[in-house]
Amino acid sequence: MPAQLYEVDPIAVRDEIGKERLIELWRRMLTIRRFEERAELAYRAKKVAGFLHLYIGQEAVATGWYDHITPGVDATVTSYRCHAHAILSGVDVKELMAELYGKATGNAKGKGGSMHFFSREKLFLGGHGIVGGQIPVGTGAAFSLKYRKTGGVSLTFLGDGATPQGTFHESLNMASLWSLPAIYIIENNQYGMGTACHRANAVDSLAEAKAVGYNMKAYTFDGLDLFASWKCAQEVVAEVRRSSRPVLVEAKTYRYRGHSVSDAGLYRTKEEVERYKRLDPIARVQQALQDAGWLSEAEANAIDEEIRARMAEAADFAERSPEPPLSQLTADVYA
Amino acid sequence: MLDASTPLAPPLKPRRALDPKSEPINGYRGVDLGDGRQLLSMRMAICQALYEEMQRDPTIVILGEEVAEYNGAYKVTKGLLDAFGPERVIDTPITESGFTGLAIGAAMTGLRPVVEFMSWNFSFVAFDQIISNASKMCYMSGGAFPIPLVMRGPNGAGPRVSSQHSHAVEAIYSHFPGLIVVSPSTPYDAKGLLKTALRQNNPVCFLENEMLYSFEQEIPLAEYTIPFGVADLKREGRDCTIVAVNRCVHWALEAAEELAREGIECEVVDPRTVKPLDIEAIVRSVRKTNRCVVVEECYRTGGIGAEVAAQLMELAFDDLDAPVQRVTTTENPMPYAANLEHETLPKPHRIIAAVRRACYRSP
Amino acid sequence: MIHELTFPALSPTMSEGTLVAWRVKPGDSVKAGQVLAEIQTDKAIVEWESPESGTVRELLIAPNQVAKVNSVAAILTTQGEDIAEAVARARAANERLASAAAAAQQPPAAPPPAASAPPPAPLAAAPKPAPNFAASAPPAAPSAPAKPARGVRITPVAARLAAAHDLDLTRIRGTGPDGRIVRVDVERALADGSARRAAAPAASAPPKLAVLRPDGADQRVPFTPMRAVIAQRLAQSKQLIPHFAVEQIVDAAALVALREQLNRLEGLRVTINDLIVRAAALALRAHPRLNATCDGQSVTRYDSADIAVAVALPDGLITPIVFKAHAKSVRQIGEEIRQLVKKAQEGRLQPAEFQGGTFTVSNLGASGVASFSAIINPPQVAILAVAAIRDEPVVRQGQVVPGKTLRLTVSADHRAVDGADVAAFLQTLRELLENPATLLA
Repeated sequence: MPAQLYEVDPIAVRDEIGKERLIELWRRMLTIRRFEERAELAYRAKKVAGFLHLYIGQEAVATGWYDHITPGVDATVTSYRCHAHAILSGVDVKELMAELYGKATGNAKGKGGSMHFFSREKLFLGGHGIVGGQIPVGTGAAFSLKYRKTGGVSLTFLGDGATPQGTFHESLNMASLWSLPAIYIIENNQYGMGTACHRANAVDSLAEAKAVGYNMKAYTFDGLDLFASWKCAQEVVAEVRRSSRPVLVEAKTYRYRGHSVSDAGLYRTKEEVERYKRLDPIARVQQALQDAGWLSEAEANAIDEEIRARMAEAADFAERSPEPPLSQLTADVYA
Repeated sequence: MLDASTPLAPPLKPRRALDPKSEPINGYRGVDLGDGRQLLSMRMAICQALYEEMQRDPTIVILGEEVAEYNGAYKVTKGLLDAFGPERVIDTPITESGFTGLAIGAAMTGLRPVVEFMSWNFSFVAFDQIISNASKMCYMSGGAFPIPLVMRGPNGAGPRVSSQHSHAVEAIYSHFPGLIVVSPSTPYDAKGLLKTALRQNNPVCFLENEMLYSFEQEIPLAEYTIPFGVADLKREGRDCTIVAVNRCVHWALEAAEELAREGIECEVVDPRTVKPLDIEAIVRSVRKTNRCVVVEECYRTGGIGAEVAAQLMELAFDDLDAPVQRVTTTENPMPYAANLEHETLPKPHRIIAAVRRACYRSP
Repeated sequence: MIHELTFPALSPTMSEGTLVAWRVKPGDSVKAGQVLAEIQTDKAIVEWESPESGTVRELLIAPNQVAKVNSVAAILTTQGEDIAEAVARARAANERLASAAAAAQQPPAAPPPAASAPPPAPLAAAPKPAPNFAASAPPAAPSAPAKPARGVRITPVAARLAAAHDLDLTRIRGTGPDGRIVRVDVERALADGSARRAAAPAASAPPKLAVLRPDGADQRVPFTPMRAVIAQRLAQSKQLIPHFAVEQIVDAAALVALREQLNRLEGLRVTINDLIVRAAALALRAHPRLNATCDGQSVTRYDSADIAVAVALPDGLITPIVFKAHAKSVRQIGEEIRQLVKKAQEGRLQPAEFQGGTFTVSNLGASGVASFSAIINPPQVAILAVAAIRDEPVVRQGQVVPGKTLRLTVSADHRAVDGADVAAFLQTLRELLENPATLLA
């Protein structure tokens, strides 16, 4: 059974968000995209190496949810596709770009790379490289926030590919048993690397079908639609803050790029990618802003130019930054 | 490595044993002997360390299977639920990967969790969390997220529990930078080292031993801690150094008594922490004896003995009068049959044979 | 704005790729994200999307061309700028990239052959079975406080203790496994004084450091690589192998006469040495105990007499081999030796030409020496030293008459052969040389 999609009235949500805030959300989504494009360009110029998992296409998901939390009071954690979450947590893009370049000024001093962005101050518990490895970590954050009575909630982002992992089951079971303020957001971009979701999961509806096994509430929303993401987040975050009962959420989304930069994408058709590109979450918000008369094309282009300039500046900063000194090779192995 | 603040270890043998009819044999309170010392067992010493540190630090919580209402599968946490309540002493489902990962997340966000593995054999279910998350988080976050986490529980062979319940994990976990591996052999060491573990910010594998839980010793009533990376001389001798950890310390001491009757005086060095390893203390002893036998419950390939032997090559090559000998668990899964189990473990008869080899005596 | 689009790395391991086909042509207007070309990576054919928007002005990589990552592949402009300079710069940069990659793939430029050819290892460098001591010879230890004599088994601490008291390790009985000397053995020797060195003064006096005259009249000449190898191998040979020498005097009158006869023949040139090598080969066939190698544990005897001939070089010597000398005529042997000597002097000997002999002949006859003994060329068990043929009185049929004599000295490895073996070999050799017609058979 396909899940019941969380329904929103786009005009009503648009008006609820309001002009300035919506422009700001659009700006954040565009920042993520331009960052990822810059990263990809740098990768292709061999400035960036290793794995590089891009968030292009999925921007509406994290952007909608981070708008209802306070990074630092609330904790977030995600997988290796972590650039957007670090940006939305409030980490400076220069620091992130420098990390991609493997520089001393990087977010993890050049030790982590693309998959491991962090922020202690913003309680961003990281990008994690092992599929499903972050789910208990996010659950632990919820445990800690509850224990310390901070009023914070924990958002654990994971891919559709992580739901068959044992840690998913173990974490949700504990979160429900102990009523932890934990929200699990499955960003279902349809493919776990090259394996289509239906080839890896026995159920169609990841949240709805699985949540019942943990006595949890479930939500499913259109992850390509910022309004759905934002509105669903608003409801769920408020509910979890109030009830301290965990919730499982599925975002139906899509990534326009490969699993990582080296993915030739032979497991899906070009037509499919094109079809989803027509649903581009950023273009749709821009259209909504234009329709509302809140942002002209010229204004949008100006903002885009400004963001591109910021990214160029970040790349320049990364380029000019020194490599980590060899003396730091074994620093921070132990605290 | 030994500094002035480190108290001298008390004698291994207590003046008397606990009387199970009138005295506690578990829980966190030892029997006050009235002279500044208390008599307690290993399980009580561990419990006492947890109790004292939980009183001192409200961010310490204990998570594990049967730790609360059942008072611990081996009664190590007896009394702690009553003392601290279900918010701090938490029974988990059987979900090692889950609760270990949860403890890591809690450690990243202000808590200092203690995870009990009912046995370290079950830690393999949580291996990814221990290795990929706990051991690397501090480094890969550029120092932003240290993991103040203690993972503890019984390690090594239990009594006739066969293949899947008899692993000794010192060598496995020592392999990974970022982890600290503690493997105490006495109540005194266990308490002092566990208190240290609960006051520092790295993930610690604290390896106990079911067969030592009832081992009794007189320890100070006054507070003390023991630093990591400081070995303890459990016996002095001039002829052969025996490096042994955990339960093997007691087997080594037994072997040493027997060998003394042949005129071979063994020095038994107990590193107490396998990582960091007090290699200086081992080298010091080998400079005196020129011989070394390493005894451990881990397997031979890549075991503690392999590491100690390699480091002795590097640091004390010109002091050796014989090849370093290793006495380890033989390379087979633990068999159930009593005679086979006996031969599999690094028991005194095998230690004696190895020391004789090192001393060029006939077996 | 001018955008120089660089050829992308589309997989982590990609350093170059083939541009399969352009999907755009100059003059086309493209949007960021639009496919520019298909690129064959090391994994698959992948579409390359334009990172920028603009008008395609110049394509710098031809279809099916292999291009380095970061080469400029295309130039786009947004306002129709002049791109002449950008194109020139891009072409130059691409060439630099390509040549840098080519240089990285080439081995470093070969130095001139004379300098680059490693000095041929003197004496049989990789002899038949690897000799035991050579195989176990440790690389120069960084700092060995006490290096026991070869063949002595001793623990590190015992060696250190023995060295500190300058004990003679060969006089300490080892009680460890296989006679290994352990600490207590050294302590016992110290206590009873049994292993003190007999003649200590020479050994214990520190070696006098040479003081060189400041005017440069004295010179210190470091070993050439060849000299160092000779020094090492011959020192090993002399230290390890229990040498003994046996000398024989041959009446060489008939030999000299035969040589003169042969050399009168058209196109033939025979030396005494050629005849001796032939004679030695035949004698070795009759006495295979000397046609052998020894590894300290066993002796290997050979069917074929592969005779190494010592050749002097300006600073050293080398021993090329006449393989199957027993099956070759004097003339063949002579031609081969002259070829080998020439190659040796030109430094062109191949390892196969100087490795694997079974016996060595060293001839100082041309220098007029009366007699000498040679150091064994390990792992061979014997070496023949050939002196000059001299005019000397000889006793023939009870009469002292003018004659020609030749002194032959065989040094042999007493581990492998005994005096009687060498004596028998020399007897045969003498008979062959005194009746040289047999050498032509």
